[in-house]
Parts: sequence; C-alpha cells; structure tokens
Amino acid sequence: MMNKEVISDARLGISYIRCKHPSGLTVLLYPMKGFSTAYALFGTNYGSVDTCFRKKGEPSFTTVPEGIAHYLEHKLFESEDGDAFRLFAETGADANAYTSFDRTCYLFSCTSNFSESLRALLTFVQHPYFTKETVQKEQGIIGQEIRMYQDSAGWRVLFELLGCLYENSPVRIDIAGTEESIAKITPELLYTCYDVFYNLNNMVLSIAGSFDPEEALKIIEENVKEGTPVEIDRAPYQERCEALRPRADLTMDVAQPQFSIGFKQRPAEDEKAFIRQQFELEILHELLIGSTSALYEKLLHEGLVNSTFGTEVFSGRGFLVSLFSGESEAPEKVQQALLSEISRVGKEGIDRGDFLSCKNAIYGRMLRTLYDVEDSATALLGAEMSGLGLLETVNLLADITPEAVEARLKSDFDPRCMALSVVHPRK
Amino acid sequence: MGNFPHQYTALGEGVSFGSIPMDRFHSSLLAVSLILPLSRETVTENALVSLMLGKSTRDYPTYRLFSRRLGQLYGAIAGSSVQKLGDEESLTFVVSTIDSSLALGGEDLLKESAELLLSMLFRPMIENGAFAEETFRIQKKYLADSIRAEINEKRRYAVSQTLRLMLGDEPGGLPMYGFLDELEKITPASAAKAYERILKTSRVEIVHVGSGNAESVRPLFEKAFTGAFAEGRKPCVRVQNHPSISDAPIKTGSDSFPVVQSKLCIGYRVDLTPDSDNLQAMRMMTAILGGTTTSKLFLNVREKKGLCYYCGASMDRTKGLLLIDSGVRPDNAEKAKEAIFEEVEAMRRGDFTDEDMRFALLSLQNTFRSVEESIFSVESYYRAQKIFGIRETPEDQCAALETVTREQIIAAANMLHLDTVYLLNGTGSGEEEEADDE
Repeated sequence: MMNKEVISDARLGISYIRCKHPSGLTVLLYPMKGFSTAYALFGTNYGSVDTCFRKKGEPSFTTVPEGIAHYLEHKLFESEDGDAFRLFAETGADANAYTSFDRTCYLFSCTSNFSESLRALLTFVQHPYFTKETVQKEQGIIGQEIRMYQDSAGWRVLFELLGCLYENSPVRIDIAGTEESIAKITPELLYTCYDVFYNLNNMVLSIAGSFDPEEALKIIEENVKEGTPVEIDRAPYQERCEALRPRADLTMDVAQPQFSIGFKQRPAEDEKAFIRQQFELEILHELLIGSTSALYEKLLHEGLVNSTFGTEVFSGRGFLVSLFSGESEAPEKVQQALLSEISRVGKEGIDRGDFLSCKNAIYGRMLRTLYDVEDSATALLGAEMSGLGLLETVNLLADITPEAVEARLKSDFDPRCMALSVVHPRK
Repeated sequence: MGNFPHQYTALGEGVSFGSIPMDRFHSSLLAVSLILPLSRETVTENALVSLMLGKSTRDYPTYRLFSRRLGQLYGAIAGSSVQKLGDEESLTFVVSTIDSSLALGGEDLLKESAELLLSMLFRPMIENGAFAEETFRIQKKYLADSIRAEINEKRRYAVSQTLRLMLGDEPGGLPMYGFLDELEKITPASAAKAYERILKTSRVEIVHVGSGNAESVRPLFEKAFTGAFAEGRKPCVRVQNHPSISDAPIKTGSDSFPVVQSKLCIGYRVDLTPDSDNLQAMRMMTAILGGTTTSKLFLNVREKKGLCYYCGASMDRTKGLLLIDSGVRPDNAEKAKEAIFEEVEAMRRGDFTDEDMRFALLSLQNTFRSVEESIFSVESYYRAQKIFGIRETPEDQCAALETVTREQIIAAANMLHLDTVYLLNGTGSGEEEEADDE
C-alpha cells in the first residue's frame, strides 16, 4: 500500500497528493477543477549526463556511450507487439517523450479515456524490449536527428559554449550523442542502463488536470511492478573552476552573428541552497542586463543587441551556467559591457525597486504555472526531482533578500569562469 | 451547432467587445486585435507600427520602464503580435496577468491591465506627427533583423520558400513581417501616418478571457473607442477569396546550403475556405496522411522506410493549401519524394483502414478539446472564429468530425492539386565549419 500525504496552501487554494509506493516510486496527483484535459508524466532521474555509474555496492563503475539515455527513450516505445504510439492512438491521447541532460520523461495528454491511457503509459515504460535488429534500425533515425541539430545555429552556439566552459562534465556533449557514439550502443548496454535508472525508486509519476485521483491510484497499484529499490552511484568527475577556453567561433548560414556568453557557476551542494542560488541568479541576470536594466537599454540604443537577447539560468544535476544569448554584430562589446556592469553593481549595489518588481514577476509566473495543466505536472515532477516540493519552492522565493542577491554577485561571477561562443555568418 | 458560449456587442462601427469568462485560469487576458487587409504596400509598416506600440508607450516610454511595469503587474505578459488570417492580418495587443485575488497588495489587476493595454494603443511614442527617433530606430532594426533571420532555421526557411512559390503575389502569400526594401522607405513621420491609417481603417476585436468581470473594464474601452476615435473612421470589410487553382505546370524550386540535412516540401492547392462544407473531411484526410504518429507518412516513410527524420502534413484552411514538410538525408531526397507521392495516391484510392479513421478522429477531437485549456489558445481560437464569421465551439467541431465518411475523405484526397515541389539541398558534411580564431 502507498502512504499518502496531502500538501496544500490555503492562500493559493492549491492542494495535491504525494504518495510513496513500496517500489520506491513517487506519485504526485494534482486534480484541477474546471479543466478537461489530464496530463501525465512518467519520468526518471536519468539523462545524457549519466554516462558513468554503478548500483550502490557494486565494485566498479560502468561507462556507457554518449547519447544512450536518449536512444533508450526512442527504443522504449517499441515492444514485441509493436509501437506504443498505437496504444495511445486507441485512446486518442497525445503521447510523447523527451530526454534532457538529467531527466527522461514519457507523457500523454488526453481529454477522454484517461484510465486506458494511464495503463498504457505505465505498461510501456515498464516493458523494455530491445533486440539487435530494432536497435540497429534506430541508428539511422537518430543519426538524422543528430544531423538536424548540427544545422541549427542556436543549438551549435550553445554546445560550443559548453565545450569552452566544461572540461570533463558530460553536459558538454550533445544530448543525442554523436553518430560515432551511438554506433556503439547494443541491446545489452540498453538493458544495463534500464536496469539501473528505470528502477522505480529513481522515478516520479506526476498527473495534473481532469482526473479522479482514487481511480488513478487504483490503476497505479495494479500496474506498478514490485521491485527492490536501487540506489545509484554516479561517478564523480573533476571539473576545474575556470573555463577551459575563453572563446569558440563557428561559421554557418545565419543572417548576423549569434552569440552566447556563459559563466560556469559552482552549484550549491545542498538541494535547498541550490534552488535559492538559482532564484538569486535569475534575479541578478534580470537586474544586470535583463529587459528592466539600464544596461540593456543602453545596448539597444547603441544597436549592440536586439529583442532576441535573453538570459537564462541553465541548470541541472551537477551543472549551472549563467547564460546570456542573442544576436549582435559585436558580441565582444556586449561581453565587455556585461563585465563592467557586474563590477559596477558589485560596488554600488542593486536597485531595491527593480529587485521587488523582478521578484513579483517571478512569483506571478510561478503562480500561472500552478493553473496550467501541462506546466503544473511538469513543475511538480521537476520540483520533486530537485528534492524540494513545488509549494516549498514557491515559498522559498519569498525569503530571497536584496543582500543575498548582492552577495551572490560577488561570489558567482568570476571572469575566469566566463566564455563566449559566436556563430558568424558565411561571407 | 451547439450554444455559442458568449456574446459580442458593438461599441461602435467596426468595434466589437466580447467576454469569455473562465475562472479556472486564475488569470485574465485582455486583447485588442486590429484587423486589416494584407497588401504589399502596407504589410511592412503595419508590422513596424505594431512592434513600436507593443514595447513602449508615453506612460512607460523606455523598455526599462515598460518592463518594470510588467514586473509590478506580477510578471504580466504584454506586447503585440502579427498574424496572417487568409488575405487579412491581425495586429493583436495583449495584456495578461494573474487574478487580483492573488495579488499581494490588493491591486485591481484587471483594471490596471486594461489601462496598460489602452496606453499601448492610444498613447504611442508619437510627438509632432512622428514616432520618437529612438523607438523608431530600435524597432526598425529589430524588424530588419527578424526579416533577415528567416534563413537561420532551415526548416522554417524551406516552408517559407515553398509558400512563396505557391502563393506568388496573392495577399495571403505576403510575408507577415514585410520586406527590407519597403522598410528602408519608412520614416518616423510616415510610420505615424500609418498608425493613423491603421486606427481609421481596421476592424477592432476586443476580448476578455479568464477571471475577473469584463463589465468592470468595459467603460474604459467604451470611452477609448468612441468619440474622437470614431470620427471619420471607415473600417475595412472582409473579403473571402477562393484559392486560385490553375492547370499551370507544377512549380519546382531548390536552394543549396552547406547543411547536413536536406528539407523537402511538397505543396498542394485545395479549393477550401474556413467555412467550407468539406473542411472536416479535409482535416481527417490530413490527419490520416500525416498528422499523427500513426499516420501514413510517419509510419511508412519515416519508421518503415527510414527515409526522413520528420515527415508530416498540415493544412491551411485560410489559404486553401496542404503542405508536406520533411527533413531528409541528401541522398534520400528523391526516394522520399516518391514514397510521399505513393502515400498521397493511397489516400486518393481509399487505401486506408477504419482504424486509421478512428485514430485520426480521436486525435483531432483531443486537439479541439484541448483548445480551452490555455488562456492564449482560447483567445486565438475564438478570434479566428469571429473573423471568419463562424460560430462553432471546439465541441461543435468534434461533433462535425464524427459525421465524416470514408467517401468524403477520399473525395478530399482527390481535391489535392499538386502545385509545388521544393528542395533545400544540404551539401555540408558538418565538419568544415570551424572558423579561424579571431
């Protein structure tokens, strides 16, 4: 039987159920009034960065080819009886899956036949079926996917930057791997990864929207396989503080230079501190060079950036980058201006009015997430995997002070940890 | 047809006000759409004016002040967008934020949203008959960058090239951001004149979606859209053009780029308008052919034959066309084209199963039933309905789809008139692109 707790916030009028199944699976159920879709996400805390690991207690680490998590995601849709998409075609649900650096998720969205769709999701994710033939066949399709991303300037500018920043972290490698690395994938390797990372103790099922939680729990009880929870050891790697290289340049068919400036940050060890660090960085990015900042206005005025410019806290398990990207004829000048602004604000402090407006904006955006079926299921799963509940995360924002943000600026923006990548137009 | 859930009332000639109350979003959206005919002469300046209005107002004259205002309104989403709707375009201005009950300081967020929206529309950065130099320069550069940026993503570029070949000079074929040569001719003063023209000639659709009481802000809109605004106004009238289908030879086009994946696009013309009787049959046909992960193009061309990474079909009811869009390995382009044609022929022969039909129906119904799950998709769905003069809820569409027969789907497939084949030929190895260090 599952133990069940209800987590709620009276002021927001929000309440969801969190259960722990004996298999180790965490279940999050968030029924929402007035909606007609249900959205379910079945995710594992496993992504492209998990290339060297062992079960706790095993003597040695296993290293697997880059891109295998994404490959596994593709192959899991296949079973002895055919394609899992067929199961969802029967129910009318819209099904999909994705792999990121540190997560793999299988999902569906439906407006009817919820129970059948949930059964289908639980069934196919728990039934791996890999043969030599099917694994080989996928190499063509994934090879084409890798090529497609090679043609995307936005993708390339990001990975060139990550390659400058990181020496050893697997985050520098394309999520789908390379055509060479995926050629090494075998059914045996896929089963090894599945066995470790698709252990239910490493997984979360999150459902939001229009559904009956009792019915969902019943289906989960009936369809979740019993098993012994596995604990995973990921091989540690040395990562230098500074960037590996300060700069990368590429040439592609783009209209004007595209750039990414990144600061490699040291992720806080503690889960809560890591989330706080990300909030503080998000606020800092906005105050330094976001649309409310004086610097952004100056750069626009000088024609050095346009409205495509944006900032991002690029983060996941074991990595954290302050990212500033856009289009510019002179990315070096943008970089220089950003460095000067960091030093100026470091001395003079941040504007309290801007700070409040920025905090309000983040608060408002998070609230909107709670009233959107797809976004809330995704946010619940994300918060669970990062070790803090969603409502706790929302409330953590309230504690962020201007002083903490100022301290963050001093500790987290070392110019030696910075790099610039540029995609130039072909002449 | 079921009951249409909401009413629109006229605030004046060519100005309509409606409200679609939905508490479940705990947020509100206010939108004003200015509907104008598409033409080569005006498309660029309309895009520029729309950009300038959507980023600053005399009350919040800089990016910084405008953005700070959005922050104060709890991360409100505000701005402008341009959308093509057949031979017309819609310049839409939106402000959306959380419900007042969630505000930390008891603010009336719906009213403050309405004021910001009206400020965007009626307090532009115009002085002495010209847009402010700074606003003009920044947005002109951004528009030029956006027009040029089409080339950056090859999939989108290939689709645009195909539509250009297909639609030629038809208004519906104009690029919504306009043309660089037209942009060069625009001055701060001519843009201000264009602003006046837009207000004088557009049909105006005002709508509230979500939480809050629209009646509380209605007087603000009434005041703004009557009086001086209404003087001498001649709102445009909608024209419904049937797509031109001729027996001219099939058009072909190609470009070469040093990229590793080629893009193959195949365009068909169809005699279809948004209110056509055979619209739902065409939707079913498109879904079976290439609209889902169990469709013929996906299963046969991608999965079985492994000829492309993506391959799907989509239709545009407003321009009467169906587009098949795929990403292929350069040496597979010819084979992929043949395989795609084979699937289209199969549809024309009726070579599809009852199961294919059932899956397509379920998938389309799921899509329609998901429309009302997002405040933004509610706005755009009902705006299109209003503009095309249709009154069908998503549920009405689901019911209509159920009545589509096999014969009607075959008939729809036989309406496809092959018009254009376009290939973006990838000639790159993906290896030679490292630039010299600078």
